[in-house]
Amino acid sequence: MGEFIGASGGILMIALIVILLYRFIIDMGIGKDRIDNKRIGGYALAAVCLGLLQMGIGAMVISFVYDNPVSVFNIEAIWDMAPVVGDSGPMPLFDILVKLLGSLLFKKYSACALYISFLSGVVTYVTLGLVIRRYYADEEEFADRGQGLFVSLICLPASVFLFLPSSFAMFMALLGVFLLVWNGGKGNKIASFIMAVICLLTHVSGIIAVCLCIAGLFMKAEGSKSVIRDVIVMSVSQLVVIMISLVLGWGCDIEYMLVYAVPALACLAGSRIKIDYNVQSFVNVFMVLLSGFVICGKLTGLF
Amino acid sequence: MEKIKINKNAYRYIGLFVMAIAIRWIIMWLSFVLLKQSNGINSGMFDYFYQKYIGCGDTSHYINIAANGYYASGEYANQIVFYPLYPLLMRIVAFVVRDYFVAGAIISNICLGVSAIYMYKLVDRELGGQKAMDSVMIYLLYPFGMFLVTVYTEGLFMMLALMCLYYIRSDRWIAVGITGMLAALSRTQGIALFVPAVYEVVVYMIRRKRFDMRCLGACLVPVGTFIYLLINKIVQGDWFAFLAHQKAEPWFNQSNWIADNLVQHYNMALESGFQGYIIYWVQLFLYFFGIATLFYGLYKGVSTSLIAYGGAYMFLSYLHGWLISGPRYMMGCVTLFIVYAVLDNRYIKGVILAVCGILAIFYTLGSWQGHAIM
Repeated sequence: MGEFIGASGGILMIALIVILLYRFIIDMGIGKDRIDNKRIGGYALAAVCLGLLQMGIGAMVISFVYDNPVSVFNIEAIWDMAPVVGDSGPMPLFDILVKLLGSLLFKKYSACALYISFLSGVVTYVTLGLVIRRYYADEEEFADRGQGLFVSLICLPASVFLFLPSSFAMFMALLGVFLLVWNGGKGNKIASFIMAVICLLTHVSGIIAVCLCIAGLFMKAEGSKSVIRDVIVMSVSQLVVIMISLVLGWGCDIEYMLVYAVPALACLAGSRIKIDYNVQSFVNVFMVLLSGFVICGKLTGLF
Repeated sequence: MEKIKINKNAYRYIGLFVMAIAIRWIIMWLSFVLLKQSNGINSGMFDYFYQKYIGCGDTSHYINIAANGYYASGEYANQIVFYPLYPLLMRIVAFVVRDYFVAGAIISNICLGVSAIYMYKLVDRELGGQKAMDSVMIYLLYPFGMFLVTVYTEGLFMMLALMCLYYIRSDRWIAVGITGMLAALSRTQGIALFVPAVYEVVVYMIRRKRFDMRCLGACLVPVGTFIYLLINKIVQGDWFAFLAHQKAEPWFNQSNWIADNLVQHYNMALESGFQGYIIYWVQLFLYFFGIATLFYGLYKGVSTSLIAYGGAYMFLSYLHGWLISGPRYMMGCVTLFIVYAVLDNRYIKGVILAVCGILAIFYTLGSWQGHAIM
C-alpha cells in the first residue's frame, strides 16, 4: 500500500508538471488556433486508463502465478522482459534522457524511465488520435469513420509495450508528434526534419520518419496520392529496419509489429474506406484476445 | 471620485488587517479557554503564550540567531539552516521593544495582517471581491495557522509570497524581484516564486512582441537564495553548509524523490499512533488533496502561473525526507486558498470552512498543550 501511495504521488506530480508545460506552450500562443483541449483530454484519459489497467492486469497475473503480491508500478518485477529497462537498442536519446532526469530525481533511474515511457504512451495515443482526425474533412465524417479507428488503436495487440520503459515507447510518441507536424500542411518541413532526426536518435525505426522526409522532397504528391506514398514509404522502410535489426539482434518482434500500426492507420484513414461496424468489432475482439494471449503467455513464462 | 475610491479601499484594507489578526487571536483564545479547563492554568493568555512559545519548536533558534547571528562552529552552528530575513527583522524591532520574542511576535502579526490584505487584493484581481473574501476566510481558518501569530517565519513568508504573486499578476516586475528575493531569504520554498515569475515574464513579452528591460527584475528572486548560500560560504566556508546540518540530528532532513518520502510518511503514520494524526496522516492527505486541488484549479481556469507556483511549492516541500512540518508548510501553498474561492457550490464551501474552523481549534489546543505540531 505504501509503495502504491508513493508511486501514485510521484506520478501525479509528474503529470502536473507535464500539464503545466502544456499550458505554458498554449499560453505562449503556439498552435493555439489548432488545439482542441476537449479532444486531447479525452484521448489522454483513455490512454491513461488503458496503461494503468494493463499494468494492473500484469501485477494481478504475476501475483497469482508466483503467489506474491506485486505493486502495479513494480515494472521490473512484472514485465521483466524485452523491451523493458536496459534493452533500449543502439540509439542514445532515451538513455541520455533517463540518466539526465534520473539524476535530478535522486538517481531513481527506473522510476524516471517509467515516468518517461508512461507519458510517451499517453502522447502516442493523443498524437495518433489527432493525426486520424486530420484525415477527415469535418466532425461528422470523423464520427462516422474515424472514431472507430481510435478504438482499434486502443485494442492494438500488446499495446502495453507503448507504456513500458523502453526507447521504443518514446520513439512511438515522437513518431506521433512527427506525423502531426508532417500532416500539418506547408511550412512544416524543417520542423518535420528535426522531429525525424530526434526519432532516429531514439530508435532505429526512426529511419521511417527520415525516409518520409526524403520522399516528401523528391516525390511531390497531393491528397490520396500523398497518403499512398507515405504508407508505402513507411512500410518498406520499416521492413528494411526489421531485416537490419534481425541481423544485428536489436529490438524484438513486438517492436517490429507495433510500428506497422501507424501505416495501417494512415492507410485506413487516408483511403476513406468505410469499414463495416461489425467487421471492425470482430477485428477489435481478435486483437484484444491476441493481446491477452501475449501478455498472459509472457507473464506465466509459457513463451 | 478617485479620492473616495482610495479612501474606501483604505478602510477595507485596514478592516482586513485588523480582522485577520483578530480572528487568529480569537482561535488562540478559544483554544486557550479549553486548555484552562483541562489543565487548570492560572495565568493570563498572553503570559502563558510568552512562557509556552518562547522555547517552542524553532522559536528559540530564531531568537538565538537574532541575538547572536550565525555561528561558524560549535553547538549552535547548525542554526544556519534557518534563513536570515526573519531573525534580522527581529533584531531590528528588538532595538525598540527590547525583547526578541515580542519583536518576533509583533513582526508575525503585522505580516499576518498585510498578508490578508494581499490575499484579498490578489483574489479580487483574479476572481472578484466576494470570492476574495472567501479566500481570506479559509486562509485565516487554516487548521495550522497558529504559526502566523507566533515567532515563526510563516507570517513573513505568507506576506512576501502573496505580495510577489500579486505583483506577478499585475506585471510589476521590479516589485516582483524585490518581494521574491525577500521571500527567498525567509524560507527555502521562496525560490518557488521564480517559477510563476518566469512564466508570466515569458507570456508578457510574447504578448507584447518585444523585450522589456523591467522584466529582468524577476531575476532578483533567485538572488535571495544566492545571498543565503553566500552567508553559508562566509560563515562556515561552504556554499552548502546547511545541507550537512539538515542531514544531522535533530532534523535528519535529506532530499529524496517525493515517492520515497510518501512511502516513509505512510509507514511512519502506521507506527506513530496519535502523532500520526497531527503529522504524518495530515501530510499524506494534504499532498493528494493539494495535487487534486491544483488539477481542479486548472480545470476551473485559475491562472496557470498561480497553479505553477502551487506545484513548485509542493514539489520543494515534499522533497524533504523525514518531513514533520508538512501541515505548516502547506499553508504557504496559497494557490489552495485561491482554488477554494473558485468553488461554485456555496454549501461545499461552507462545509470546508466549518471543518477547517473545528480543526483550527483542535490543532491550536494541541499546540498549547505542547503536542508535536511543528
